[in-house]
Amino acid sequence: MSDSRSLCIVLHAGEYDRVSHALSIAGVAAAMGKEVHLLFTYWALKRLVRGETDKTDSQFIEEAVAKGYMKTITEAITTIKKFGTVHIYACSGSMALMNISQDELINEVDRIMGLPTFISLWEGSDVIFI
Amino acid sequence: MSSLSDMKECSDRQTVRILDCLGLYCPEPLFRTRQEMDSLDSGEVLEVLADDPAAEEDLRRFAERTGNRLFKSLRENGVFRIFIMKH
Repeated sequence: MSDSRSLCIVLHAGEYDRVSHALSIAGVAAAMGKEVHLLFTYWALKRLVRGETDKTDSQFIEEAVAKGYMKTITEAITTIKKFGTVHIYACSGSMALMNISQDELINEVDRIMGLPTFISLWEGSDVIFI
Repeated sequence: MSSLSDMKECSDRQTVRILDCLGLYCPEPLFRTRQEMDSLDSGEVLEVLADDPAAEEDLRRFAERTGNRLFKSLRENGVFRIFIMKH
């Protein structure tokens, strides 16, 4: 683990396992004391639309969630938000592209953000693209 | 204070809470440990039971990063008993 104080993750892919894995990484970094900034873009952004968050996309995922081996994405977000240093942003450009309005977003979204602001957050931070 | 007397001091403390993470795998033991640690007062001790083979190393890193002290860990039949004192 590097000594940087924060971790920025750009979530692009919307597959259940990729979003879930990004949230695990975010949660571990936050649990270990880092500030974590998550920018949801493209297909990942659709996961932040109310009613879309926990839709499974394969039988494997469906069974893993049903058996409790994997959390729902909603549960994962709730858990890692409790650590107090996880921030969730919806990409403004992706909202326009995907035709998503602000009032469709789940309450866990902290704010809408553009790339220039997000990039200014990642100075001195570790950055991951998923 | 020497590290030996440090350890003695910690070992003498009573475990305040036991967290059962048996059957849970990364990152769940860390998430639950962090939540329990948040609810403890300074100087109180959490004992974590875990059988994830990575748990001891992971919780040692967690303790180092967050200023808490993992002062004892035992392993028997694949089950760790990990003792962490809240900073």
